[in-house]
Amino acid sequence: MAGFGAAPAGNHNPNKSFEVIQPPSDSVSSLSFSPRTNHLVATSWDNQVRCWELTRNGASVTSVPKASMSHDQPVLCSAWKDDGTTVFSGGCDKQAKMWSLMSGGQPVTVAMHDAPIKEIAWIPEMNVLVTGSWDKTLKYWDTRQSNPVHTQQLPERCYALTVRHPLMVVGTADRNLVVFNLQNPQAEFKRITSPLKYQTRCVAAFPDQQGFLVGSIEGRVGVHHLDDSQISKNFTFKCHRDNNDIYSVNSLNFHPVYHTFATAGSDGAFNFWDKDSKQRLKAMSRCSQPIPCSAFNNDGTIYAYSVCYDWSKGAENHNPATAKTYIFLHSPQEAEVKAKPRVGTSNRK
Amino acid sequence: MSNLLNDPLFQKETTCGTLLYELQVIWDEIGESDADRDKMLQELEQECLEVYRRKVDKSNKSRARLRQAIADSEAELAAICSALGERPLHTKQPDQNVGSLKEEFKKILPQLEEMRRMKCERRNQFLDVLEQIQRTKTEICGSLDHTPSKTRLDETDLSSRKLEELHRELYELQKEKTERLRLVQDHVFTVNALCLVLDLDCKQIVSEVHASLTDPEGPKDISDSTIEKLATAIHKLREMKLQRMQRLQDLATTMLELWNLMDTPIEEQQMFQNITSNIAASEHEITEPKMLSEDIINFVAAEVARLEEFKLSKMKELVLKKRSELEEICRKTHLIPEADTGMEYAIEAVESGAVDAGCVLEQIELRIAEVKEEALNRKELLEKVEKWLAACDEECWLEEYNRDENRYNAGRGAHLTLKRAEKARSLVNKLPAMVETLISKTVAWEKESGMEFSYDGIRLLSMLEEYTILRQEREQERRRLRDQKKLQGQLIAEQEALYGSKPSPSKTQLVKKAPRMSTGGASSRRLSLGGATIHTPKPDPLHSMKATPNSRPLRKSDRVSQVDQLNHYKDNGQAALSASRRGLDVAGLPLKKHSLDAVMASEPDSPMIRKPFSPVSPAVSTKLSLANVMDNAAVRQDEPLQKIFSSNNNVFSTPLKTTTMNNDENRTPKVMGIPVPSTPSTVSIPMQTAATPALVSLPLGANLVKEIAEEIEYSFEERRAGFVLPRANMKPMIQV
Repeated sequence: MAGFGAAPAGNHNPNKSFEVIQPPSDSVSSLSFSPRTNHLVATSWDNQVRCWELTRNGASVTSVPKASMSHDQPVLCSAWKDDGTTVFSGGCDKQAKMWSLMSGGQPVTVAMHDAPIKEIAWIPEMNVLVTGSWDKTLKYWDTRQSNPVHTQQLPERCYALTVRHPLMVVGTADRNLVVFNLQNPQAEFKRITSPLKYQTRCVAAFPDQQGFLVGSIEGRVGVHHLDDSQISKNFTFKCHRDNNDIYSVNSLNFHPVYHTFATAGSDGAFNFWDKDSKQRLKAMSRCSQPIPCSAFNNDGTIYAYSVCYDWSKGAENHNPATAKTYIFLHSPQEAEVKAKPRVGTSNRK
Repeated sequence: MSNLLNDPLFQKETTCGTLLYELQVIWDEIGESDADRDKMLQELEQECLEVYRRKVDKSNKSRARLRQAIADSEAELAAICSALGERPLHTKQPDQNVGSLKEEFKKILPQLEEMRRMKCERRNQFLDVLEQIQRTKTEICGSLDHTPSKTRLDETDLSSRKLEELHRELYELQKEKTERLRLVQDHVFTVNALCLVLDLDCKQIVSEVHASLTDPEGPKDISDSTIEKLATAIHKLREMKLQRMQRLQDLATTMLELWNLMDTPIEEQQMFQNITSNIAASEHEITEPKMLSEDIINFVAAEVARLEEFKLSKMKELVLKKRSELEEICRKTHLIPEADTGMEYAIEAVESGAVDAGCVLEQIELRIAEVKEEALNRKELLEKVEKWLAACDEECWLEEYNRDENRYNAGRGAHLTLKRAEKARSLVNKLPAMVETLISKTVAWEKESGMEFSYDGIRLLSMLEEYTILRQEREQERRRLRDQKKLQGQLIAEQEALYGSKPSPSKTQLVKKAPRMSTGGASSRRLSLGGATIHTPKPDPLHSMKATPNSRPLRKSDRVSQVDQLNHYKDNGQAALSASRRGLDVAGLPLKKHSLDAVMASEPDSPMIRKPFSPVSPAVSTKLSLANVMDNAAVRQDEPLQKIFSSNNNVFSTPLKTTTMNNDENRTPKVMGIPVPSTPSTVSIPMQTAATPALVSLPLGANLVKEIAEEIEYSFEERRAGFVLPRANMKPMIQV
């Protein structure tokens, strides 16, 4: 009975999440948590990379701005090194920068592409940085050398990327999904067309590396298993829709502990799902603006999401005067993110 | 002369003179020399002087002693006087010589005695007062910590002023003592009163403070600590009283509310008159003994609990009543009660106390209002639909009637049947027109209200469409039957020609006489209305019949089965018509149902068998009408069927499986699965899943359409960043 009607217009924080102070002045393009501590990094369209330290005080979460640096152009992606000391970011300046937080040093350019870098990831198992760009390549970098260790041609521009060693899935334009086995990164393991009919927006590898989720701009998420024997377990489901209005699925994040996942969309809502029981665990109220990106912290106790315009309705729907950027922190209840047995199954024999 | 002789001094002088004369005489006689004589005389004179001096000294000493004694006495007298703070009665005037020293001494002595006596008396008085002070102080300070050193009597100050002072002090102390005594008594009294109200053992509490307090006669301890302890005890009791009072008043308030809510009879209320009357009383107003005892509170709490339970059951009743009302309205207007399972769930939640029944009630009432409004909206069209369905009934009946070869046999009520057939025929003739108008009206209605007009959960338009198709099929079948009959007639004619005997129609009659007033139509109408005939499914030829309608064997004996098939087919059709309604009913337990079906169904297996995870019947979607709806867009084998019902293609996901499930209504609601369990806040909802590849059936948002229209797709970020693919890249890359 819950959830009648949409969120009241104009409420940017209907879920009463904790607001991160001193948010970026333009839309957030990526959020990532340190794998060790509760440090949050946000990249944004105002060329900034900002870092906050989050502290949990009982039920509430407070944020303290720690550091920031800037690129020459809007920043599109960010990633943490596994030891939590270093942040990588890439963007429209076609560069990826390495920024050591500990020494407070200056950011160093560690990667270059011919077009903006859309995705970035650190692969601790290989000690390399991988960058995906709209120049239709994927490049692997040893951060000490200026030349890429390897350049991988992609069929199209890189739109999304997820890594769970040894599985890496790259979503590109034209609905290509390229799967890599990182034990042999030179060769594509598999190339498939997205099970979704529309542009790929985000991908997320299963924690068990058996497959991945793919989200499209048409408010649909595909659950895809890699093994052909598990093909029967593949399915897609709709989300981030409001009657006839369909919104993009912008972000997919697996919960680090319970292995359920969260979706966030241009409708301003975020939901928690369990793919195994095919249930939606929790639907949160819609914010007044889209959610372009989100992330779980290392123990899954904080879900950070940004509320700002994501360009899903183009420039004509962007009003720089009124557009505000927020980053919110939601502490998910266990019931929201813990998979529960599908109730009622016993009744459906 | 004798006078002279008697005088000793005279005598002595005389004696001295005489002795001197005698001495002169002696000396003369002796013939002492003058020098000797002078010497002897000088000696004599010397000796005499000595004697005199001694006497003078002695007297002098005694005089000094006497003076000393007088001075001492005077000093003592003065000291005593000063101690007593009185002026000395007698002061010696230095010049005035009262008399001899002895006299003076004699005079002063009694005075001294008097003063000494006075002093002694005064001292006793002081001691007495001091002792009293000491005692009182000890009492006040508490026997345990009394000062061991007694107040010392200052001997130098025994003045009456001091005495007065001490008296005052004593008086003060005594006053304090009485005050304390009063205070203690007050406290004890208060404790008593509180204990009475709270129904506690007062004696025990008081004796815990100090044992002496419970002794009615003996002295009471009035020390600070006792008073303090008493005050604490009172405070504690008062707090307890306040607490209990609060509790009782809360309970009483709740009780009053409940009474009010449930119109509890006055007699029942009177039992608690004394409690409810105190509902607004302040703490000091509650003095009635045992008013706040544990027992009373428990008693009231029990009553409140009973009332609450009663109220809950009433609320539940009310919810159920309202719900059945809602269902009744829905049933009457052939709407599907929305949020069906939600309600079931809500009732359970109310039972378990998780949700406020009032809230649920409100929701149901809201729903009722909505449904009523909708019903009003639908009324006109609904009447037409009823008419149409009634006409359909008649059509069915007529068909059956027409097949009855004995229909013209005169029997009881035959004329009535005839009349009915006549009426039915005219009605059937009007049917196509009726359907036409109904379709146009429905379309208009849908356009106007912006939603689909559903009848028992099925879109009316699809029902009508289905009916039209059915009608066409029937038409065809009828034609075929006519042909067959003609052929049969020929055959008979041939036989007649050969053997010359015409079999009587009654003997060829193979069909058992069908009940005249058949209710066959009823099943077509509303399966849910009950009383549906249960058709035993035959190993079915439906598909084959459909596929090869004209290649049927024309043997006579087959007619039976044909008729059955027809019936069966019709049922199939009708079942399909209400499939979605059934789907709705089944929503909770489709799998269970299906196992049942498997036994009953004519087809042992079909490609549409539901997989364990396959989504629940799509009917739920209409029911929940939320975004969470399950949307089963899976690609099915029954494409053609879906095409027929293109508008709501999802409804017929497994149409043939449910065809013979006429006994839907026998289900008890208990069996119904409740798909939305757990707490309301974290309701987990099945995903709107689809087996890949997915079918996109919904129109897309404007931006998406635009996006598709474009030659090259761009992501949001690319649009924002103004990223444009270089021309060269627009062609597919042929690179390694």
